[in-house]
Amino acid sequence: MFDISPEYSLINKIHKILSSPNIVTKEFVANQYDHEVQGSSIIKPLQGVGKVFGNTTAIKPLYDDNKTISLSQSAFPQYSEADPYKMAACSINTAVKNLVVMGANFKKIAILDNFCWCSSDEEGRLYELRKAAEACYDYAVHYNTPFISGKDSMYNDFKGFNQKNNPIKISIPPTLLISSIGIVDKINHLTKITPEKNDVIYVLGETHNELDKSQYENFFRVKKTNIPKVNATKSLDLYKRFEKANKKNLFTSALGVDLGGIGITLIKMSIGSNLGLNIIIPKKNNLDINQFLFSESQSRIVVSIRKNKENIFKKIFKNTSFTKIGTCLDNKKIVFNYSSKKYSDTIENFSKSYKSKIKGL
Amino acid sequence: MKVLILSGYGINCEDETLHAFIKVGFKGKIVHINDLIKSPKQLQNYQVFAIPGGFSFGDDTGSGNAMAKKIKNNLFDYIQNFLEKDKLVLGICNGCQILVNLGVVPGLTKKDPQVALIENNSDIYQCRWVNLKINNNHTPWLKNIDYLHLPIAHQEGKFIIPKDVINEIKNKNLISMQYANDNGKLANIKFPYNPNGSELDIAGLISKDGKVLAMMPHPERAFYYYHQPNWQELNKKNEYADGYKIFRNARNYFK
Repeated sequence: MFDISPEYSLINKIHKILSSPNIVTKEFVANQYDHEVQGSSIIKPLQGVGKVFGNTTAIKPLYDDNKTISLSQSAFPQYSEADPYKMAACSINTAVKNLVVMGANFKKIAILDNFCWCSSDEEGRLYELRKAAEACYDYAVHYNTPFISGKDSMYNDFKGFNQKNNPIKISIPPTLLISSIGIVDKINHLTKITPEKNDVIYVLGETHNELDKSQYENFFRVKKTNIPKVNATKSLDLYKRFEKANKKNLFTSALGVDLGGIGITLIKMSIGSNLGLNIIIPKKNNLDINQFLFSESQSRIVVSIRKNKENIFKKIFKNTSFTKIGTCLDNKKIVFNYSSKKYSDTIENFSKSYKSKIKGL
Repeated sequence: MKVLILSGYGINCEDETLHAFIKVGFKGKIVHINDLIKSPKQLQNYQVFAIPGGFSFGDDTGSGNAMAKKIKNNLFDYIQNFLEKDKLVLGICNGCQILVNLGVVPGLTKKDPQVALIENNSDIYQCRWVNLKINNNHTPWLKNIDYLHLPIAHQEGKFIIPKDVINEIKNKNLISMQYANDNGKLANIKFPYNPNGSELDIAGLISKDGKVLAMMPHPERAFYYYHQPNWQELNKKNEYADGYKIFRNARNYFK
């Protein structure tokens, strides 16, 4: 664990997180399977000129139909032992959100559960399972996204002996993978992750101090913090507004905030488009720079819009939480402004970290 | 204009290949290899014979090998007869491997394969988009095409060719497409531009008379504009992508 000292600058922290196994590109996976099979892949796993490994893809299985099918998935095993209810809520919410961001019709989204549990004969593990199942019910009903299938494996435990011949038991953390499938009514509803020159960048949704079990917390010490909580009512409202705005083709790009928070999301968008970003970090809700950039609060979307669309954008998202955070520029660097300080590095350097190899592969 | 598309035993690109032909103006039919063997004379009713991509016979004993044997043992005379007429043959990916194993491309002799397709240098399956430099226009398939951007998806796409055969292939100008870098220059075996290590960056070959095109890239997967990577970023949106040109050329040949 590293200290948050001034020497360990913001940029170094970003590189550290960007090159960690959970965040780095999984391009080597995409290139190893036939993601073009039957000529239906239209939003491919590698997105933008910078080939960012996307969290959502789309296929167009029927040649003479304008509809496309979008697929995504989400899992947060890191939250399970802290709060299995929140863990399941985050998985469902993120899997659904990813499809909404891709342009899916909210009324035509279905989900699948994949429970990989451990020691399911122990009371504590069964309690966690029950809490996760409760969240599945609550959120699926609230979002009206049916579980159309699923599977489970309940004993992902290894029992054996260590080098010293002492008995050991190794279990996976309880894991719920939610896969999501949705119909995008028209091909021009599909969004992309790459902002365009002179676009204004906004974050939709609320950022809280939710750094617990985050990618940031994997490496750096954090003060008192929480794991993310999903506010289903606010999220649903945001997704419906997003859908409405997207039908008017308001966004030049959109990407759901996932692991690594806003900071990593912005860098992916910049790598994808190979266009620079000038980001002004707001002082809001008493969040410091690390909390704002790396908090993994749920139900947030980074979007870019053209300057002349800002008024209609503000109208549609009236009374929701949205924050203007910067602009997209035709230079090759990303600049974070906070108070009077500037932190910056080139897209090329960020891209190098993002495309570093996972150790042992 | 009619096209017969072969299917069966793991070929899996027949639908979109037929769709591409139909879209440019062909009529066509997907015929299972066993049905074709049962009534091989039906081949006479078609102008184009296409073998799509896939994993025929699970790629056991080498990609395309078993299907080539099945064709050779049951249909070879009919195929030869077909080739002697003013007709065209297309093999895509697994279809290319089948045509190579049949010896139909480069077709220097009437039997036995003269070149081989072996495992990629990376030893793993590769699915990615490649740049292709089109070298000769003496096949109707590639008329008026200089450059193509198409996807490949294969594990055994590396052409290896004996020295004496290389010279003959070069002299007769049978190398139809070669992997290129982003500047349109030959990839020079450099990965990922040349995704498999193919000799002379070969991505496709034609037969001596140019009627048969065997290519590892998939034109049918780059048919519409939205098949292209990052099509949303393109300023000019044509209805079709590069693969369309190959099918269009086949139509123009018979028109």
